Amino acid sequence: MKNIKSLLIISIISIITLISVTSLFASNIGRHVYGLISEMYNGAHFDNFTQEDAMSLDTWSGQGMATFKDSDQNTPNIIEGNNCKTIVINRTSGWEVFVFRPAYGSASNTAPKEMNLYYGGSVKFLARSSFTSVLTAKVGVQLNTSGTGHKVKTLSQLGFVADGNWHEISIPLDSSFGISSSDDLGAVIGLFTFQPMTLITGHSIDIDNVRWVKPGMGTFNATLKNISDNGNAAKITWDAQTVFKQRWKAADQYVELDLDMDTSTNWSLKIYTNNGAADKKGLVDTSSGTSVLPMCWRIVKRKMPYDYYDWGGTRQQATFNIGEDLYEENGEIKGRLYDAGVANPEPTYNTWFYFLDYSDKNNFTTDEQDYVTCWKLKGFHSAAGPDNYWGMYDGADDTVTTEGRYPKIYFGADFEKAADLTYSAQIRLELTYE
Amino acid sequence: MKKFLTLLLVLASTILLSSTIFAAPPVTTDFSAEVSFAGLGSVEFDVTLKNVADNSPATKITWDPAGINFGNPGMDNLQWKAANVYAEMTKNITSSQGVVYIYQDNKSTVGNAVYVATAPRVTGGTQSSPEVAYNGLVKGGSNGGQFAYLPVTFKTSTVTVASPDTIMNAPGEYGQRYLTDVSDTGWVKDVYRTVANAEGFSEDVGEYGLYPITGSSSVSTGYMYFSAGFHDVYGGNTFGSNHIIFEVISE
Repeated sequence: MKNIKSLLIISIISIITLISVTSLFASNIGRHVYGLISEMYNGAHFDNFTQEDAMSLDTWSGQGMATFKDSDQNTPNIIEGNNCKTIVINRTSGWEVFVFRPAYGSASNTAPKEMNLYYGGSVKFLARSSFTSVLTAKVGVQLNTSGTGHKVKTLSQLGFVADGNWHEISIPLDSSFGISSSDDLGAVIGLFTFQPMTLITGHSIDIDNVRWVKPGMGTFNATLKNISDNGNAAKITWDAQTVFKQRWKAADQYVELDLDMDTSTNWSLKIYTNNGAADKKGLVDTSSGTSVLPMCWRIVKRKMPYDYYDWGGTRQQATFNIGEDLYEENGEIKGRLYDAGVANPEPTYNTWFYFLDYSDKNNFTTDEQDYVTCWKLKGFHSAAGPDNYWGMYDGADDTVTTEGRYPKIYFGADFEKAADLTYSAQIRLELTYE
Repeated sequence: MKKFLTLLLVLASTILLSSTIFAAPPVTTDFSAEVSFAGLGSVEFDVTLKNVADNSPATKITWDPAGINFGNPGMDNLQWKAANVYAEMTKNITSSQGVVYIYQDNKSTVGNAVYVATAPRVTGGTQSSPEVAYNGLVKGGSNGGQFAYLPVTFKTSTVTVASPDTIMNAPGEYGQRYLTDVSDTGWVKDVYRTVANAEGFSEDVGEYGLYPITGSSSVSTGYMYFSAGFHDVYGGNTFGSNHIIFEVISE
């Protein structure tokens, strides 16, 4: 009888513990990578959309001697997405600590976050400056309001080099940074802090891709879904009756991407057909294997169709209307695909990409390597044309807060030359990273 | 009590560890794409004769006798001459089973009796098992026979030609095939007899089978030109064929 009672108590305690752990995953906290200032990763929101992930910039200052501002069109060579942050010294006296607080509405509403699962991982960010004065700046995290709760090191101690190039800095979330155990991360009130120390007017530093990262690799998922109901799908398909003998038609499915792994700055996601031959870069008939219907793909930040503002400020809608323009270049007839459903279709702004086949990847030119890349640190491959266009900005009202950062890949095929056959293709996504 | 505490510690650490198991990210992710148009195809084909000179409608394929020398030049020195009339073909073939054949039936008794063949020419084989042929233009009133057939070739194109003699090269060169007859020894409906299918208008047959005219799968109109090899022609002779047949197969 005594033994039975003891066993019962143990079981109850273990169940309670499990529930506590599960509740950490209600927001983006708990993902392998939690983005603070990041266009690539899901994480905090500065728009008060969700209370769970709300973030506010708290300027903790005396006299305020620096400005924390957004990048603009004059900010050169941003390598993560389209935007970064810049801290500029604007006076030579006073002090200032910039603190990213988990707060909804204002910093005064700070709600400490349980970041225990990130113990043993790190807070990482990109930094760039050509001013050696920034080497004395202190960066870190604030664990609590006590005098010893603010854990910092200088950029110099963290290995930053002020050579004008981007460098990845890592703040270890362990004892080497004064964080003795995961318990210390149980109520974090400052997820990232930055304090300039050497005050020289005009000196600045760019900061980008600030994120909390758990130990280990994380995951990357690509999920095939139906456009109609966003339910999981087994194959990419088209309605045969509708598309037979028609020019370019979008498929009834899309792939949703979820990047939750900490990659290097040199990572990329490439997309190909995988049909075993360079010329089989589309749907191949299953009877003779000789007839190929060309295929294409497009990557966007949100579900299509969606509304956005173009560079001229005109309201547009990204559509499934795939246009093809043939043109001559160096005596060769080439094709390019574009969104023919926008108000002013532009055949030279190519938002759809012809597929190339995986079997030929070792023969790709540098341009072709770029061509098959759909996502990388700079952003998704929104279009080709006079230039290659990368980034995470798609011109829409930023409803990313409703959809999260889950880029979508859509597919199309040209059925003009289809015969009454069955056609199939293998599509491959390849993530490479260092 | 000691055992109880130990067990609790083990359970707690197990829960923590299970939340830190990381899945290695896949290097590649594959998807399948598929669509089936089985049963959706169709076959439409039509052919009309037109005069080379002015593209006006014609009722039969004819040759201008001017320039054809009388006599027997020998079978190695045939006088090849293009016809005055060409065939304009229109197609819309979306069925993988769709195919158009061309062939003759010179033994058929339907039509002008002077061109009905009953005697073939021998083209090979043995005395006891000869290979024979009935194809070509039959000398009028001859019923056929060894030297009573003029070979005819055809060539397809997706553009009209003002002077067909310029494109009708000697038989055997790429793009030019003989008209054949259903009664020829070993005759079958095969790629050699194919004029068009879902891949387009057929240009020729070679090592890898049937070669369509490049890009002609989406071209609806094509043209066929004819040439005949004249030999043993004398004043008063006529040559003809009652049946040059385009057969359309849809399944």
